[in-house]
Amino acid sequence: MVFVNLFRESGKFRLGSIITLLLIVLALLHQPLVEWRIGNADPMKVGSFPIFLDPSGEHWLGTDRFGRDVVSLVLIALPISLTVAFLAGAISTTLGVVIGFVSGYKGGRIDAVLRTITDMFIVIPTLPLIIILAANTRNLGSVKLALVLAFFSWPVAARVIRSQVMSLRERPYIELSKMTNLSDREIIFGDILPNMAPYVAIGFAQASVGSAFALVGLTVLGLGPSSQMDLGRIISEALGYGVISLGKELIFVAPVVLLILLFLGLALVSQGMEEFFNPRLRGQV
Amino acid sequence: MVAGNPPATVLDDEPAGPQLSAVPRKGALNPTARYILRRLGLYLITLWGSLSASFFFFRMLPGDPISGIIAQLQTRGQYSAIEGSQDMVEHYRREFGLDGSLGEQYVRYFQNVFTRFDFGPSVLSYPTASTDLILRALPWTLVLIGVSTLLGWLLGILLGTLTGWRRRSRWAEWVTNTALVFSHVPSYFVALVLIIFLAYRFSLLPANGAYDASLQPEWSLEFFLSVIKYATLPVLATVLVSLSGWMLSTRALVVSILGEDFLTFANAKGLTPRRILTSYVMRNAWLPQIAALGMALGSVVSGNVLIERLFRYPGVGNLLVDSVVIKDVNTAMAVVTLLIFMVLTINLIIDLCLPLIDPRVKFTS
Amino acid sequence: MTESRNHRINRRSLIAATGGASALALAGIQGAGAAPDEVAPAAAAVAQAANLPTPREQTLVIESDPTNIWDSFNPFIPNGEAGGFGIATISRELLFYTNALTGDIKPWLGREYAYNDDFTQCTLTLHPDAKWSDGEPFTADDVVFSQTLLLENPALNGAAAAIRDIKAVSASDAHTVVWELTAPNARFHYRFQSFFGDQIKIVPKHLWEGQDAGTFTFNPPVTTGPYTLVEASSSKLHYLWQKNPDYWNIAEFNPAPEYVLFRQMGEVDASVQEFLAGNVDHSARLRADYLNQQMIEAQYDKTSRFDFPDPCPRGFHFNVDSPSGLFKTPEGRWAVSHLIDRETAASTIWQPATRTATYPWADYESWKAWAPDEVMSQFDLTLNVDKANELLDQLGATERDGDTRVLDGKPLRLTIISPRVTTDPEFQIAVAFATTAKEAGIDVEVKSLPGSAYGDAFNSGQYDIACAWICGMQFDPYQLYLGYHSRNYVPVGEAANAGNVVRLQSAELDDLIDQLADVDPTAEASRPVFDQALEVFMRELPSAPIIQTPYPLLFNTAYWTGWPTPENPAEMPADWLSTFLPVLGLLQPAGE
Repeated sequence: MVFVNLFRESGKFRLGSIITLLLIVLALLHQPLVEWRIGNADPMKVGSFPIFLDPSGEHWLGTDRFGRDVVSLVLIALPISLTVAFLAGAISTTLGVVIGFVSGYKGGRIDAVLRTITDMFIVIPTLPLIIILAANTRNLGSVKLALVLAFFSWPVAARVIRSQVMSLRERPYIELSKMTNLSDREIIFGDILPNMAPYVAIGFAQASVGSAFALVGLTVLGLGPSSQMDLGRIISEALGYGVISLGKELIFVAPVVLLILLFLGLALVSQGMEEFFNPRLRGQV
Repeated sequence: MVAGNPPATVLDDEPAGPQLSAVPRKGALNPTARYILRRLGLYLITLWGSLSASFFFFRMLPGDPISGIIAQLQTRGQYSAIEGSQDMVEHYRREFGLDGSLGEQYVRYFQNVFTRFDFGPSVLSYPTASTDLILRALPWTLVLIGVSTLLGWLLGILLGTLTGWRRRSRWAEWVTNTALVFSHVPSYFVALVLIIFLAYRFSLLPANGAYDASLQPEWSLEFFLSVIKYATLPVLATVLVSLSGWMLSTRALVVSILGEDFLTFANAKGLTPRRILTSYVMRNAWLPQIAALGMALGSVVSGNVLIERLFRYPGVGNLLVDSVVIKDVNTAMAVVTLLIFMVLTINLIIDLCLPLIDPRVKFTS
Repeated sequence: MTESRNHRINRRSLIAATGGASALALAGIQGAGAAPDEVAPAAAAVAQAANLPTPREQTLVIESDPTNIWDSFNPFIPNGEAGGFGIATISRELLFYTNALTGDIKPWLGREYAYNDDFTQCTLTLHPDAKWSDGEPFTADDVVFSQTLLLENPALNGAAAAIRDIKAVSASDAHTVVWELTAPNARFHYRFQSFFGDQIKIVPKHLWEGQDAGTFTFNPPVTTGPYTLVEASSSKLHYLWQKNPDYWNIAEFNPAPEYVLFRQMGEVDASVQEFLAGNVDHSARLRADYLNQQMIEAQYDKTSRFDFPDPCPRGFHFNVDSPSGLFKTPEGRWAVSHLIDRETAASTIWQPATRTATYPWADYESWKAWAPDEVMSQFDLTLNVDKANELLDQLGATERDGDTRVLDGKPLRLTIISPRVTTDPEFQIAVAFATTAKEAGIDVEVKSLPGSAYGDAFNSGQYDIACAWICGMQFDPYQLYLGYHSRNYVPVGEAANAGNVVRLQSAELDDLIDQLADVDPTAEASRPVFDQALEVFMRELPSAPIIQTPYPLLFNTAYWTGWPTPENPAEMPADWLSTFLPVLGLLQPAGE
């Protein structure tokens, strides 16, 4: 019900969720789409087609240096990029919820410590650390990569959750629950959590954007997992071939556009929700 | 928030810093001194925490850096002309401070860092100290980050104030929506488009290096202009993105201030719109952005790594990636330490200065 | 929920903005795609020509692979010098210059060498006129000093080999050096003539004496060569060398370029643009980028190309102790070899198209005799999935887990590591192999490991297959085989610093290597032993050759002409080899 209202009320949320959903659908349908484009061939297979073909009805975006259909490459890369971003978003949101919750609910000394750590993580430049960790992780795959990214992007979610818990904690009905001697657990699960859902969603969207940003940073440097294709790697490889001089820039245009759509979609979703659920921000932008 | 975007909206949170002294305590110190002491203490703890964390982070990375170095020597240039030996391995383990227990290494490392500013020799360019490598690259990064951050921030809050003030006009709407898109584009992508256009297609600006190779670094106008010319594209790429972020958040602040009660009073009192803008709106919208600038620095530094890489700018970002690739622990750690130190210190300065310029932020709670 | 009356997002204008920005980007990108035809090299040159420290027509400009070394010239320590930026290629001279393409060997700092009867002593005569760039004479004392450094400091580069082979070194007069060897060694002179790197690195005794060779930076460097360092700049990212008017050999060897500039660029595209603008004479960055070279050749008419055959073929190294268990027998290694599509690798993956490799060294004319047809015809190095399946069945990997074969109770999953980035042919050869291996029921994952991560994994045996280069052969195949001797065997997990990274233990091959150690490689009588060793090597197949590797080298002839050509390979024009210096002697100003 709330989300229906949200969808109706917030243009940002509407646009953002449509973009994001379209990307997800595209990712889910990648298998039949690839089959439609190049049949049963493995999109990663070297030498399936002549190299560096120009765009045509057959190959909408042409082929790359090793004769792979660029559309199919993008199609198999999208789900991997999305999976890593969302998985990292989910892990860091979980972490962020726990830390933000403890911090906001307990307050006092625990809050001070957790908050200092959170602020530290937000303030320090994390990409260098992500680069180092990723470059030195053995058998780097989607899951490990998501863990690495999540380790550095949870503070965003933690901050959102904490401030919300702080404000909920002061609300009269919680005070009432406290006075009636309900346990922490009952208060948390009975009173606070149900009111948190939108903020968890906001935290998730923001953490996913953050993770996706870091993921792109990592892969355009050529330091992502080399055993799977993701959107950043297509860009990095295209630059490695020197496509600009060869006049084959179309190879990296598609992944760039998809990534921008992903960032934009998720950011609009989180901003839309923030404005909707947060009275202080509502109607500002 | 990693690849160079400042937060596009200010979260529902108190301005950082001053509120940290939330718990008033009995004591002889006056509130200002207490706040400063507290903030300094917090600074030192954060610094120590992040440095220790990064020390252990680096030491616990899998794989043996020394045998990696020796092996890389053997495969370097593809031709195996060098045979490694146990003597070599042990010698360099000592040289790079990797012998002894983790605790010993920790104590020794920080002794060297704090007493002699010595981060150990680099692997990238042994035996040059990693500190030397960094000091050599740092000025370039400071120029790049400094100029692009300040420029993006200033232009962003100016434009944000304007679009917030004229929020109902057609152009403001356009600018806002364009900024909304731009603020979520990694500066790396913008840089790519700029390079294609301005450097390759029209050969207007160089896309490689820091200044013309025929010049010597000196205090001359020619050198200065050359540095500006070479920094234009990387700065432009960063500024286009960061100004969008700052613009949006400033606009949001301005809009919320315009809705506040005291402005209604001001209106009622018959203050001119111009006066309202300069004395109320600007003041109240701009000051929080100073604190936000400090918070955004980390992501600026992160995004800068990619930009430096793309433009082969001789700064610490490039140095960092190079050192990571060959697992030059000393250099990578020194770069990270330095970046953390810089960001934390700037934040400290901002927090300490903010109460002086913003009457709303008090040293006491 | 109340409708906010303030400005809300207008979806249409947002979409318009998004679309507008993307359209702008696309337009720019496509416009740029068409650009190279329109931008005349001359026009681009005007805009960027200033970016050189010295007059263009007096300067040879070479773009090298990136470095971070700007203030050290110590050849005895890891990363102690940026060899590719001139110090090792045009400044520090060699005793002899070998051209492997023609087999010519030119005396330079050294004049001649001789062994005693039982090859336990080697005597080298030096050029009596040689001088250091600071005017001091170059003498046998310098050579003795440099060699003694290695014998006394086991942690220096090259010390392990020196200590193993050299008992003592002394100067019998100012221009004669005598080595006493630890064992009979008919190949000691290889290190005088090596073209992979200067294996006898000579530094001036008068400047190095009393210094700690482990940390001395030797800046500015003093060498015997015709070029001396003007500047090495970490912010301009270049090394500038200038001709030394007092060069000792200037009467014989007087290269035309007054300056040689080694510099580095960012992206490949930057290198291409610089070449098109006429700002660079040769670019190492474009070495592996044949397609862009073709594009340059089509637009920029002053070029000369040399497809230089690298001495090392590309191939797979099999970790004999791989946990998969597949490589503990030659059959397993051969099964994998039968799954390599060498034809595709040679025709499509490597550009320019090349030849498949069968024996583990380059197909130089002068090296072909080491791989006689009688031996090689026994071995079938072609794609043969049926044969591979047969071998795998014989090994007992008949059961399947899904599509994957099971060997010794474990599904057959292999990891291939490559030191090259994913866009490089070495990586893609492995990727292509993964596809055919799947058909035979082997699951393959390919990983590109950066720099030292590869070194660490390779050395410590944390891999199943390494897709890289097969190096070692320079003068005779014994040099290659030595890297497979089981006396250097260490188990997986320990660093194989002394060689035998594939962890082979073949008594038969060991025995032949030991025999070869004692023979005179030039003697006709030794040939049967060599043939036998090759046969055993191929039968064991610890490393499987895949393709010969021509590097297309593109030279700009707008300012300098006379570059070696495939028809007349007077010198090896490879700027990454230490034998690059003589190439400079061939160059003539284009004289526009």
